[in-house]
Amino acid sequence: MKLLLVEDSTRLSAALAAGFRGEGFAVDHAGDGRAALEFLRVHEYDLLILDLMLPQVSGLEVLRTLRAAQTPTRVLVLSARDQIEDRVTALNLGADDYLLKPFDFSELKARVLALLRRRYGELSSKLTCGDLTLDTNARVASSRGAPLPLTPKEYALLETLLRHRGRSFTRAALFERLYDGLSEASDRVIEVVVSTLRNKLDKAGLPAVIETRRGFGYRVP
Amino acid sequence: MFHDWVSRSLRRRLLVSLLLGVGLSLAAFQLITDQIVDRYIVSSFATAADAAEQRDRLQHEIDFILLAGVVTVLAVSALITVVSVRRGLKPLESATAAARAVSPEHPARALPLAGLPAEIRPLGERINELLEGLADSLERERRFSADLAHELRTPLAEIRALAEVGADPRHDAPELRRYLEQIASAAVGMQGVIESLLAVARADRTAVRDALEPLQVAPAVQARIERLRVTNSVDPARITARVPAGAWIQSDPRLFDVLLLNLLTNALQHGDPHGPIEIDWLSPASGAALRVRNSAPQLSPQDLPHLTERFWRRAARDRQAAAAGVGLGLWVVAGLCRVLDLSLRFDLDPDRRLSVSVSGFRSV
Repeated sequence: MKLLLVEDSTRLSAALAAGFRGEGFAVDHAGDGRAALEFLRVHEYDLLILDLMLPQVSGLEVLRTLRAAQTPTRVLVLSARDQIEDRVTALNLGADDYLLKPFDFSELKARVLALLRRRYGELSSKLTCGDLTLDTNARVASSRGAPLPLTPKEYALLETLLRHRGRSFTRAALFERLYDGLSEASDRVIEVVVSTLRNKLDKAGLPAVIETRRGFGYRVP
Repeated sequence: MFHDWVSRSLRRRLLVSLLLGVGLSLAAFQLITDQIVDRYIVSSFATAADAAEQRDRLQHEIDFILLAGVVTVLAVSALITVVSVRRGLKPLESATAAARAVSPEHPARALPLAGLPAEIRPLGERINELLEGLADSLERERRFSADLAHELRTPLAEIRALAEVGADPRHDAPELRRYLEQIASAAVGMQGVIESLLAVARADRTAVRDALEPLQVAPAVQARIERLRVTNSVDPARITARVPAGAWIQSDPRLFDVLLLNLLTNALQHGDPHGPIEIDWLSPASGAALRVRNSAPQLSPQDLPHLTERFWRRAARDRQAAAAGVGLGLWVVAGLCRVLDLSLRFDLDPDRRLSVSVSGFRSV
Protein backbone atom coordinates (compact mmCIF):
# COMPACT_ATOMS: atom_id res chain seq x y z
CA MET A 1 0.00 0.00 0.00
CA LYS A 2 1.32 3.39 -0.92
CA LEU A 3 0.56 6.60 0.96
CA LEU A 4 1.32 10.21 0.18
CA LEU A 5 1.71 12.27 3.32
CA VAL A 6 1.20 16.01 2.68
CA GLU A 7 2.20 17.86 5.84
CA ASP A 8 4.40 20.93 6.33
CA SER A 9 5.47 20.09 9.88
CA THR A 10 8.67 18.14 9.36
CA ARG A 11 8.56 16.63 12.87
CA LEU A 12 5.01 15.34 12.46
CA SER A 13 5.53 14.01 8.95
CA ALA A 14 8.75 12.23 9.99
CA ALA A 15 6.94 10.54 12.89
CA LEU A 16 3.96 9.50 10.77
CA ALA A 17 6.13 8.28 7.90
CA ALA A 18 8.17 6.17 10.34
CA GLY A 19 5.01 4.78 11.90
CA PHE A 20 3.42 3.76 8.58
CA ARG A 21 6.67 2.42 7.14
CA GLY A 22 6.96 0.25 10.23
CA GLU A 23 3.58 -1.23 9.22
CA GLY A 24 4.83 -2.04 5.73
CA PHE A 25 3.41 0.97 3.90
CA ALA A 26 5.39 2.82 1.27
CA VAL A 27 5.24 6.48 2.24
CA ASP A 28 6.09 9.56 0.21
CA HIS A 29 6.19 12.96 1.86
CA ALA A 30 5.37 16.35 0.36
CA GLY A 31 5.98 19.47 2.47
CA ASP A 32 3.76 21.81 0.44
CA GLY A 33 0.81 21.73 -1.93
CA ARG A 34 2.86 22.19 -5.10
CA ALA A 35 5.13 19.24 -4.26
CA ALA A 36 2.03 17.16 -3.48
CA LEU A 37 0.55 17.84 -6.93
CA GLU A 38 3.87 16.87 -8.52
CA PHE A 39 3.94 13.56 -6.56
CA LEU A 40 0.34 12.87 -7.61
CA ARG A 41 1.18 13.56 -11.24
CA VAL A 42 4.00 11.02 -11.26
CA HIS A 43 2.88 8.27 -8.88
CA GLU A 44 -0.29 6.38 -8.06
CA TYR A 45 -1.29 6.28 -4.40
CA ASP A 46 -3.78 4.20 -2.48
CA LEU A 47 -4.31 6.97 0.05
CA LEU A 48 -3.47 10.59 0.64
CA ILE A 49 -3.07 12.04 4.16
CA LEU A 50 -3.57 15.75 3.63
CA ASP A 51 -3.02 18.80 5.85
CA LEU A 52 -5.10 21.84 4.86
CA MET A 53 -2.86 24.78 5.73
CA LEU A 54 0.03 24.31 3.35
CA PRO A 55 2.51 26.70 1.77
CA GLN A 56 2.36 27.38 -2.00
CA VAL A 57 -0.91 25.56 -2.77
CA SER A 58 -3.52 24.94 -0.06
CA GLY A 59 -4.71 21.47 0.90
CA LEU A 60 -8.21 22.23 -0.37
CA GLU A 61 -6.75 23.17 -3.76
CA VAL A 62 -4.81 19.89 -3.87
CA LEU A 63 -8.04 18.05 -3.08
CA ARG A 64 -9.96 19.95 -5.75
CA THR A 65 -7.30 19.15 -8.39
CA LEU A 66 -7.21 15.49 -7.39
CA ARG A 67 -10.96 15.08 -7.64
CA ALA A 68 -11.16 17.06 -10.91
CA ALA A 69 -8.78 14.47 -12.38
CA GLN A 70 -11.13 11.72 -11.10
CA THR A 71 -8.28 9.98 -9.28
CA PRO A 72 -9.63 7.11 -7.14
CA THR A 73 -7.07 7.76 -4.36
CA ARG A 74 -8.75 7.93 -0.94
CA VAL A 75 -8.14 11.16 0.97
CA LEU A 76 -7.93 11.55 4.73
CA VAL A 77 -7.68 15.17 5.85
CA LEU A 78 -5.54 15.71 8.93
CA SER A 79 -5.96 19.26 10.14
CA ALA A 80 -5.81 21.58 13.14
CA ARG A 81 -8.83 23.48 11.78
CA ASP A 82 -11.62 22.51 14.11
CA GLN A 83 -14.61 24.42 12.73
CA ILE A 84 -17.54 22.45 11.37
CA GLU A 85 -17.48 24.46 8.13
CA ASP A 86 -13.85 23.37 7.52
CA ARG A 87 -14.89 19.71 7.78
CA VAL A 88 -17.96 20.23 5.64
CA THR A 89 -15.94 22.02 2.95
CA ALA A 90 -13.28 19.31 2.83
CA LEU A 91 -15.81 16.47 2.75
CA ASN A 92 -17.86 18.23 0.08
CA LEU A 93 -14.75 18.65 -2.03
CA GLY A 94 -14.22 14.90 -2.00
CA ALA A 95 -12.31 14.05 1.18
CA ASP A 96 -13.21 10.58 2.50
CA ASP A 97 -12.42 11.30 6.15
CA TYR A 98 -11.40 14.17 8.44
CA LEU A 99 -9.28 13.77 11.56
CA LEU A 100 -8.54 16.67 13.89
CA LYS A 101 -5.09 17.34 15.35
CA PRO A 102 -3.95 16.25 17.89
CA PHE A 103 -4.89 12.64 17.27
CA ASP A 104 -4.08 9.15 18.41
CA PHE A 105 -1.77 7.38 15.97
CA SER A 106 -3.63 4.10 16.41
CA GLU A 107 -6.88 5.87 15.45
CA LEU A 108 -5.24 7.37 12.37
CA LYS A 109 -3.95 3.93 11.40
CA ALA A 110 -7.40 2.37 11.90
CA ARG A 111 -9.03 5.04 9.74
CA VAL A 112 -6.39 4.57 7.02
CA LEU A 113 -7.01 0.82 7.00
CA ALA A 114 -10.79 1.33 6.91
CA LEU A 115 -10.45 3.66 3.92
CA LEU A 116 -8.24 1.16 2.12
CA ARG A 117 -10.77 -1.61 2.74
CA ARG A 118 -13.47 0.64 1.32
CA ARG A 119 -11.34 1.44 -1.70
CA TYR A 120 -11.01 -2.26 -2.54
CA GLY A 121 -14.63 -3.06 -1.68
CA GLU A 122 -13.76 -5.36 1.22
CA LEU A 123 -16.30 -5.97 3.94
CA SER A 124 -13.92 -7.72 6.30
CA SER A 125 -10.38 -7.09 7.45
CA LYS A 126 -9.49 -10.73 6.62
CA LEU A 127 -8.05 -11.76 3.22
CA THR A 128 -7.83 -15.51 2.66
CA CYS A 129 -6.31 -17.90 0.16
CA GLY A 130 -6.68 -21.53 1.16
CA ASP A 131 -5.01 -21.94 4.55
CA LEU A 132 -3.41 -18.52 4.33
CA THR A 133 -5.14 -15.63 6.13
CA LEU A 134 -4.13 -11.98 6.27
CA ASP A 135 -5.54 -9.77 9.00
CA THR A 136 -5.24 -6.32 7.43
CA ASN A 137 -6.02 -4.58 10.71
CA ALA A 138 -3.41 -6.37 12.77
CA ARG A 139 -1.10 -6.56 9.73
CA VAL A 140 -0.47 -10.24 10.46
CA ALA A 141 -0.33 -13.23 8.09
CA SER A 142 -1.13 -16.68 9.43
CA SER A 143 -1.25 -20.24 8.16
CA ARG A 144 -4.00 -22.35 9.74
CA GLY A 145 -4.01 -19.91 12.65
CA ALA A 146 -0.24 -19.93 13.19
CA PRO A 147 1.33 -16.46 12.61
CA LEU A 148 3.99 -16.19 9.91
CA PRO A 149 7.14 -14.18 10.74
CA LEU A 150 6.98 -11.79 7.77
CA THR A 151 8.85 -8.51 7.44
CA PRO A 152 6.76 -5.39 6.70
CA LYS A 153 7.77 -5.49 3.00
CA GLU A 154 6.95 -9.22 2.67
CA TYR A 155 3.60 -8.63 4.30
CA ALA A 156 2.89 -5.64 2.02
CA LEU A 157 3.75 -7.65 -1.09
CA LEU A 158 1.54 -10.53 -0.04
CA GLU A 159 -1.31 -8.15 0.81
CA THR A 160 -1.04 -6.44 -2.60
CA LEU A 161 -1.17 -9.77 -4.46
CA LEU A 162 -4.06 -11.07 -2.34
CA ARG A 163 -6.03 -7.82 -2.71
CA HIS A 164 -5.79 -8.13 -6.47
CA ARG A 165 -6.15 -11.88 -6.67
CA GLY A 166 -5.70 -13.21 -10.20
CA ARG A 167 -4.03 -10.05 -11.46
CA SER A 168 -0.37 -10.22 -12.49
CA PHE A 169 2.06 -7.56 -11.31
CA THR A 170 5.39 -6.91 -13.00
CA ARG A 171 8.46 -6.35 -10.88
CA ALA A 172 8.32 -2.62 -11.69
CA ALA A 173 4.62 -2.37 -10.79
CA LEU A 174 5.20 -4.03 -7.42
CA PHE A 175 8.21 -1.80 -6.77
CA GLU A 176 6.09 1.27 -7.51
CA ARG A 177 3.46 0.09 -5.01
CA LEU A 178 5.79 -1.02 -2.25
CA TYR A 179 8.58 1.54 -2.25
CA ASP A 180 8.71 5.30 -1.71
CA GLY A 181 8.94 7.51 -4.76
CA LEU A 182 12.36 8.73 -3.67
CA SER A 183 13.71 5.25 -2.90
CA GLU A 184 17.14 4.63 -4.34
CA ALA A 185 16.72 0.83 -4.43
CA SER A 186 16.42 -1.02 -7.75
CA ASP A 187 13.24 -2.90 -8.65
CA ARG A 188 15.32 -6.08 -8.48
CA VAL A 189 14.74 -5.90 -4.74
CA ILE A 190 11.26 -7.28 -5.50
CA GLU A 191 12.81 -10.57 -6.63
CA VAL A 192 14.60 -10.83 -3.29
CA VAL A 193 11.42 -10.08 -1.33
CA VAL A 194 9.41 -12.62 -3.36
CA SER A 195 12.12 -15.22 -2.85
CA THR A 196 12.28 -14.81 0.95
CA LEU A 197 8.48 -14.70 1.13
CA ARG A 198 8.15 -17.94 -0.83
CA ASN A 199 10.64 -19.63 1.49
CA LYS A 200 8.59 -18.63 4.53
CA LEU A 201 5.35 -19.76 2.89
CA ASP A 202 6.95 -23.08 1.89
CA LYS A 203 8.08 -23.67 5.46
CA ALA A 204 4.55 -22.97 6.65
CA GLY A 205 3.15 -25.58 4.26
CA LEU A 206 1.85 -23.09 1.69
CA PRO A 207 4.04 -23.86 -1.35
CA ALA A 208 2.06 -22.58 -4.32
CA VAL A 209 0.58 -19.31 -3.12
CA ILE A 210 2.62 -17.00 -5.39
CA GLU A 211 2.82 -17.95 -9.04
CA THR A 212 5.34 -16.56 -11.58
CA ARG A 213 3.98 -15.94 -15.06
CA ARG A 214 6.85 -15.46 -17.43
CA GLY A 215 6.61 -12.06 -19.13
CA PHE A 216 3.69 -10.98 -16.91
CA GLY A 217 5.09 -11.04 -13.39
CA TYR A 218 3.72 -12.42 -10.12
CA ARG A 219 0.20 -13.23 -9.02
CA VAL A 220 -1.86 -15.17 -6.48
CA PRO A 221 -4.11 -17.41 -8.59
CA MET B 1 -33.48 48.15 37.50
CA PHE B 2 -32.71 51.50 35.88
CA HIS B 3 -36.02 51.39 34.07
CA ASP B 4 -37.88 50.62 37.32
CA TRP B 5 -36.25 53.52 39.07
CA VAL B 6 -37.06 56.01 36.30
CA SER B 7 -40.56 54.70 36.05
CA ARG B 8 -41.27 54.96 39.79
CA SER B 9 -39.67 58.38 40.09
CA LEU B 10 -41.50 59.83 37.12
CA ARG B 11 -44.86 58.46 38.17
CA ARG B 12 -44.47 59.71 41.76
CA ARG B 13 -43.59 63.23 40.63
CA LEU B 14 -46.46 63.42 38.20
CA LEU B 15 -48.99 62.20 40.76
CA VAL B 16 -47.75 64.58 43.44
CA SER B 17 -47.96 67.48 40.97
CA LEU B 18 -51.47 66.46 39.99
CA LEU B 19 -52.72 66.21 43.57
CA LEU B 20 -51.17 69.53 44.49
CA GLY B 21 -52.80 71.17 41.48
CA VAL B 22 -56.21 69.75 42.29
CA GLY B 23 -55.95 70.70 45.98
CA LEU B 24 -54.94 74.28 45.21
CA SER B 25 -57.74 74.56 42.61
CA LEU B 26 -60.26 73.30 45.15
CA ALA B 27 -59.18 75.84 47.79
CA ALA B 28 -59.26 78.69 45.27
CA PHE B 29 -62.75 77.75 44.03
CA GLN B 30 -64.04 77.55 47.63
CA LEU B 31 -62.74 81.03 48.38
CA ILE B 32 -64.18 82.49 45.20
CA THR B 33 -67.67 80.96 45.68
CA ASP B 34 -67.81 82.20 49.29
CA GLN B 35 -67.13 85.73 48.09
CA ILE B 36 -69.70 85.48 45.26
CA VAL B 37 -72.41 84.13 47.52
CA ASP B 38 -71.74 86.76 50.21
CA ARG B 39 -71.60 89.76 47.93
CA TYR B 40 -74.10 89.18 45.13
CA ILE B 41 -76.63 86.48 45.98
CA VAL B 42 -77.31 86.67 49.73
CA SER B 43 -77.82 90.47 49.69
CA SER B 44 -80.92 90.11 47.40
CA PHE B 45 -83.06 88.37 50.01
CA ALA B 46 -85.40 90.41 52.35
CA THR B 47 -85.08 88.67 55.70
CA ALA B 48 -82.00 87.49 57.40
CA ALA B 49 -83.54 84.01 58.00
CA ASP B 50 -84.42 83.55 54.36
CA ALA B 51 -81.08 84.83 53.41
CA ALA B 52 -79.30 82.38 55.71
CA GLU B 53 -81.37 79.44 54.50
CA GLN B 54 -80.90 80.32 50.87
CA ARG B 55 -77.28 80.95 51.45
CA ASP B 56 -76.69 77.53 53.02
CA ARG B 57 -78.61 75.72 50.26
CA LEU B 58 -76.80 77.57 47.56
CA GLN B 59 -73.51 77.00 49.34
CA HIS B 60 -74.14 73.22 49.49
CA GLU B 61 -75.12 73.04 45.82
CA ILE B 62 -72.06 74.94 44.76
CA ASP B 63 -69.88 72.75 47.04
CA PHE B 64 -71.40 69.62 45.50
CA ILE B 65 -70.85 70.87 41.96
CA LEU B 66 -67.31 71.86 42.76
CA LEU B 67 -66.56 68.56 44.50
CA ALA B 68 -68.03 66.55 41.63
CA GLY B 69 -66.03 68.66 39.18
CA VAL B 70 -62.84 68.21 41.13
CA VAL B 71 -63.35 64.42 41.38
CA THR B 72 -64.05 64.27 37.64
CA VAL B 73 -60.99 66.41 36.90
CA LEU B 74 -58.95 64.22 39.25
CA ALA B 75 -60.10 60.99 37.53
CA VAL B 76 -59.53 62.37 34.04
CA SER B 77 -56.14 63.79 35.04
CA ALA B 78 -55.12 60.47 36.61
CA LEU B 79 -56.10 58.67 33.42
CA ILE B 80 -54.19 61.17 31.27
CA THR B 81 -51.20 60.87 33.61
CA VAL B 82 -51.10 57.07 33.41
CA VAL B 83 -51.48 57.09 29.63
CA SER B 84 -48.89 59.81 29.11
CA VAL B 85 -46.41 58.19 31.51
CA ARG B 86 -46.82 54.88 29.72
CA ARG B 87 -46.35 56.50 26.33
CA GLY B 88 -43.37 58.47 27.61
CA LEU B 89 -41.71 55.34 28.99
CA LYS B 90 -42.30 53.21 25.90
CA PRO B 91 -38.91 54.03 24.25
CA LEU B 92 -37.21 53.23 27.55
CA GLU B 93 -39.01 49.89 27.69
CA SER B 94 -37.82 49.12 24.14
CA ALA B 95 -34.27 50.03 25.16
CA THR B 96 -34.56 47.78 28.23
CA ALA B 97 -35.81 44.88 26.11
CA ALA B 98 -32.89 45.40 23.70
CA ALA B 99 -30.47 45.53 26.64
CA ARG B 100 -31.90 42.23 27.94
CA ALA B 101 -31.22 40.65 24.52
CA VAL B 102 -27.51 41.51 24.73
CA SER B 103 -25.51 38.41 25.59
CA PRO B 104 -22.04 36.97 24.91
CA GLU B 105 -23.59 35.22 21.86
CA HIS B 106 -25.15 38.48 20.57
CA PRO B 107 -22.91 41.20 21.96
CA ALA B 108 -23.26 43.69 19.12
CA ARG B 109 -26.95 44.55 19.61
CA ALA B 110 -27.24 48.33 20.07
CA LEU B 111 -30.02 49.88 22.15
CA PRO B 112 -32.71 51.68 20.10
CA LEU B 113 -32.37 55.41 20.76
CA ALA B 114 -35.35 56.70 18.72
CA GLY B 115 -37.94 58.36 20.95
CA LEU B 116 -35.78 58.39 24.07
CA PRO B 117 -36.14 61.57 26.16
CA ALA B 118 -33.36 64.06 25.45
CA GLU B 119 -32.10 63.72 29.04
CA ILE B 120 -31.60 59.96 28.69
CA ARG B 121 -30.33 59.88 25.07
CA PRO B 122 -26.62 60.64 25.94
CA LEU B 123 -26.71 57.75 28.41
CA GLY B 124 -28.07 55.44 25.68
CA GLU B 125 -25.43 56.62 23.23
CA ARG B 126 -22.68 55.93 25.76
CA ILE B 127 -24.07 52.46 26.48
CA ASN B 128 -24.09 51.76 22.73
CA GLU B 129 -20.45 52.82 22.46
CA LEU B 130 -19.57 50.48 25.31
CA LEU B 131 -21.54 47.63 23.72
CA GLU B 132 -19.72 48.15 20.44
CA GLY B 133 -16.35 48.09 22.21
CA LEU B 134 -17.38 44.98 24.12
CA ALA B 135 -18.43 43.23 20.91
CA ASP B 136 -15.10 44.09 19.25
CA SER B 137 -13.20 42.86 22.27
CA LEU B 138 -15.16 39.59 22.42
CA GLU B 139 -14.61 39.04 18.71
CA ARG B 140 -10.86 39.66 19.09
CA GLU B 141 -10.65 37.24 22.01
CA ARG B 142 -12.68 34.63 20.13
CA ARG B 143 -10.37 34.90 17.11
CA PHE B 144 -7.32 34.81 19.38
CA SER B 145 -8.56 31.66 21.15
CA ALA B 146 -9.18 29.99 17.80
CA ASP B 147 -5.71 30.96 16.57
CA LEU B 148 -4.09 29.80 19.79
CA ALA B 149 -5.97 26.49 19.75
CA HIS B 150 -4.90 25.98 16.15
CA GLU B 151 -1.25 26.77 16.88
CA LEU B 152 -1.13 24.46 19.88
CA ARG B 153 -2.83 21.58 18.06
CA THR B 154 0.05 21.04 15.64
CA PRO B 155 2.91 20.79 18.20
CA LEU B 156 0.62 18.67 20.37
CA ALA B 157 -0.01 16.35 17.41
CA GLU B 158 3.75 16.19 16.86
CA ILE B 159 4.41 15.24 20.47
CA ARG B 160 1.72 12.55 20.50
CA ALA B 161 2.74 11.05 17.17
CA LEU B 162 6.45 11.08 18.09
CA ALA B 163 5.74 9.47 21.47
CA GLU B 164 3.46 6.77 20.04
CA VAL B 165 5.62 5.90 17.05
CA GLY B 166 8.82 6.20 19.12
CA ALA B 167 7.45 3.69 21.66
CA ASP B 168 7.65 0.90 19.05
CA PRO B 169 9.80 -1.83 20.69
CA ARG B 170 11.64 -2.37 17.41
CA HIS B 171 13.46 0.94 17.88
CA ASP B 172 16.99 0.81 19.28
CA ALA B 173 18.40 3.27 21.82
CA PRO B 174 19.79 5.88 19.35
CA GLU B 175 16.47 5.93 17.46
CA LEU B 176 14.59 6.31 20.71
CA ARG B 177 16.88 9.20 21.69
CA ARG B 178 16.14 10.93 18.37
CA TYR B 179 12.40 10.66 19.05
CA LEU B 180 12.86 12.08 22.54
CA GLU B 181 14.92 14.99 21.19
CA GLN B 182 12.19 15.81 18.71
CA ILE B 183 9.54 15.65 21.42
CA ALA B 184 11.62 18.11 23.47
CA SER B 185 11.94 20.38 20.44
CA ALA B 186 8.15 20.37 19.86
CA ALA B 187 7.61 21.15 23.55
CA VAL B 188 10.00 24.12 23.28
CA GLY B 189 7.84 25.41 20.39
CA MET B 190 4.72 25.20 22.56
CA GLN B 191 6.55 26.92 25.40
CA GLY B 192 7.45 29.73 23.00
CA VAL B 193 3.78 30.31 22.16
CA ILE B 194 2.75 30.41 25.80
CA GLU B 195 5.63 32.61 27.00
CA SER B 196 5.10 35.13 24.22
CA LEU B 197 1.45 35.49 25.12
CA LEU B 198 2.21 35.82 28.81
CA ALA B 199 4.88 38.46 28.20
CA VAL B 200 2.35 40.80 26.63
CA ALA B 201 -0.53 39.88 28.98
CA ARG B 202 1.57 40.60 32.07
CA ALA B 203 2.96 43.80 30.59
CA ASP B 204 -0.61 44.99 30.01
CA ARG B 205 -1.47 44.45 33.64
CA THR B 206 1.45 46.10 35.36
CA ALA B 207 1.95 49.78 35.76
CA VAL B 208 5.08 49.66 33.63
CA ARG B 209 5.25 53.35 32.91
CA ASP B 210 5.53 54.18 36.63
CA ALA B 211 8.39 51.76 37.16
CA LEU B 212 10.92 52.87 34.53
CA GLU B 213 14.54 53.08 35.57
CA PRO B 214 17.85 54.15 33.99
CA LEU B 215 19.25 51.45 31.72
CA GLN B 216 22.59 51.35 29.89
CA VAL B 217 21.77 49.94 26.45
CA ALA B 218 25.12 48.49 25.29
CA PRO B 219 25.62 45.96 28.16
CA ALA B 220 21.93 44.94 27.93
CA VAL B 221 22.35 44.19 24.22
CA GLN B 222 25.61 42.27 24.76
CA ALA B 223 24.06 40.23 27.59
CA ARG B 224 21.13 39.26 25.34
CA ILE B 225 23.47 38.17 22.50
CA GLU B 226 25.47 36.07 24.97
CA ARG B 227 22.31 34.39 26.30
CA LEU B 228 21.24 33.57 22.73
CA ARG B 229 24.66 32.02 22.15
CA VAL B 230 24.29 29.81 25.22
CA THR B 231 20.61 28.86 24.97
CA ASN B 232 20.02 28.83 21.20
CA SER B 233 23.53 28.00 19.94
CA VAL B 234 23.55 31.23 17.95
CA ASP B 235 26.90 32.13 16.43
CA PRO B 236 27.63 35.56 17.97
CA ALA B 237 29.77 36.45 14.93
CA ARG B 238 26.52 36.74 12.92
CA ILE B 239 25.33 39.61 15.11
CA THR B 240 26.99 43.03 14.95
CA ALA B 241 25.93 45.53 17.60
CA ARG B 242 26.78 49.22 17.18
CA VAL B 243 25.59 50.77 20.43
CA PRO B 244 27.58 53.62 22.01
CA ALA B 245 28.62 53.13 25.64
CA GLY B 246 27.03 56.44 26.54
CA ALA B 247 23.54 55.38 25.46
CA TRP B 248 21.34 55.42 28.57
CA ILE B 249 17.59 55.29 28.52
CA GLN B 250 14.67 55.29 30.92
CA SER B 251 13.05 51.86 30.56
CA ASP B 252 11.94 48.61 32.20
CA PRO B 253 15.03 46.33 31.97
CA ARG B 254 12.98 43.10 31.88
CA LEU B 255 10.66 44.29 29.14
CA PHE B 256 13.55 45.82 27.18
CA ASP B 257 15.21 42.38 27.23
CA VAL B 258 12.00 40.65 26.06
CA LEU B 259 11.71 43.24 23.28
CA LEU B 260 15.30 42.65 22.17
CA LEU B 261 14.94 38.87 22.41
CA ASN B 262 11.89 38.90 20.13
CA LEU B 263 13.51 41.25 17.61
CA LEU B 264 16.60 39.03 17.39
CA THR B 265 14.65 35.75 17.42
CA ASN B 266 12.52 37.02 14.57
CA ALA B 267 15.65 37.90 12.56
CA LEU B 268 17.23 34.52 13.33
CA GLN B 269 14.17 32.41 12.52
CA HIS B 270 12.65 34.22 9.58
CA GLY B 271 15.64 35.92 7.96
CA ASP B 272 18.41 34.50 5.82
CA PRO B 273 19.69 31.58 8.00
CA HIS B 274 23.33 32.49 7.33
CA GLY B 275 23.05 36.25 6.80
CA PRO B 276 24.34 38.91 9.20
CA ILE B 277 22.13 40.65 11.76
CA GLU B 278 22.93 44.28 12.58
CA ILE B 279 21.86 46.13 15.71
CA ASP B 280 22.20 49.92 15.58
CA TRP B 281 21.47 52.58 18.16
CA LEU B 282 20.23 55.74 16.46
CA SER B 283 19.70 59.19 17.94
CA PRO B 284 17.30 61.13 15.74
CA ALA B 285 15.59 64.29 16.92
CA SER B 286 12.39 62.35 17.67
CA GLY B 287 14.11 60.27 20.37
CA ALA B 288 16.57 57.39 20.62
CA ALA B 289 15.86 54.36 18.45
CA LEU B 290 16.93 50.73 18.24
CA ARG B 291 17.18 49.23 14.75
CA VAL B 292 17.62 45.53 13.92
CA ARG B 293 18.44 44.77 10.29
CA ASN B 294 18.66 41.41 8.56
CA SER B 295 18.35 39.92 5.12
CA ALA B 296 14.79 38.68 4.42
CA PRO B 297 14.86 37.34 0.85
CA GLN B 298 11.39 35.76 1.09
CA LEU B 299 9.66 38.94 2.26
CA SER B 300 7.84 41.35 -0.05
CA PRO B 301 6.62 44.92 0.66
CA GLN B 302 3.04 43.59 0.73
CA ASP B 303 3.97 41.45 3.73
CA LEU B 304 5.00 44.40 5.94
CA PRO B 305 1.50 45.32 7.24
CA HIS B 306 1.03 41.70 8.37
CA LEU B 307 4.25 41.37 10.36
CA THR B 308 2.68 42.24 13.70
CA GLU B 309 -0.40 40.04 13.23
CA ARG B 310 -0.64 37.17 15.64
CA PHE B 311 0.40 33.82 14.16
CA TRP B 312 1.02 35.34 10.72
CA ARG B 313 3.73 33.66 8.69
CA ARG B 314 4.64 34.33 5.10
CA ALA B 315 2.83 31.94 2.72
CA ALA B 316 0.55 30.78 5.53
CA ARG B 317 3.37 28.73 7.02
CA ASP B 318 7.02 29.20 6.53
CA ARG B 319 8.47 25.71 6.57
CA GLN B 320 11.83 26.77 7.92
CA ALA B 321 10.26 28.89 10.61
CA ALA B 322 7.78 26.16 11.50
CA ALA B 323 10.57 24.26 13.21
CA ALA B 324 11.00 26.94 15.84
CA GLY B 325 8.96 30.10 15.23
CA VAL B 326 5.29 30.44 15.97
CA GLY B 327 4.46 33.80 14.37
CA LEU B 328 4.25 35.74 17.61
CA GLY B 329 7.62 37.52 17.91
CA LEU B 330 6.75 40.82 16.23
CA TRP B 331 3.26 40.76 17.72
CA VAL B 332 4.96 40.70 21.14
CA VAL B 333 7.25 43.57 20.05
CA ALA B 334 4.23 45.61 18.97
CA GLY B 335 2.50 44.90 22.30
CA LEU B 336 5.54 45.96 24.32
CA CYS B 337 5.88 49.13 22.21
CA ARG B 338 2.30 50.01 23.16
CA VAL B 339 3.01 49.49 26.84
CA LEU B 340 6.30 51.44 26.75
CA ASP B 341 4.99 54.28 24.53
CA LEU B 342 7.38 53.44 21.69
CA SER B 343 6.92 53.49 17.92
CA LEU B 344 7.51 50.50 15.66
CA ARG B 345 8.42 50.76 11.99
CA PHE B 346 9.30 48.28 9.23
CA ASP B 347 11.29 49.04 6.08
CA LEU B 348 12.31 46.71 3.30
CA ASP B 349 15.04 48.04 1.02
CA PRO B 350 15.47 46.96 -2.63
CA ASP B 351 18.06 44.36 -1.55
CA ARG B 352 15.36 42.73 0.60
CA ARG B 353 16.94 43.80 3.87
CA LEU B 354 14.35 44.22 6.58
CA SER B 355 14.82 47.00 9.14
CA VAL B 356 12.75 46.84 12.29
CA SER B 357 13.04 50.15 14.16
CA VAL B 358 11.78 50.82 17.65
CA SER B 359 11.91 54.55 18.41
CA GLY B 360 10.84 56.96 21.12
CA PHE B 361 13.15 55.80 23.95
CA ARG B 362 13.63 58.51 26.52
CA SER B 363 17.35 59.22 26.92
CA VAL B 364 18.69 59.80 30.42
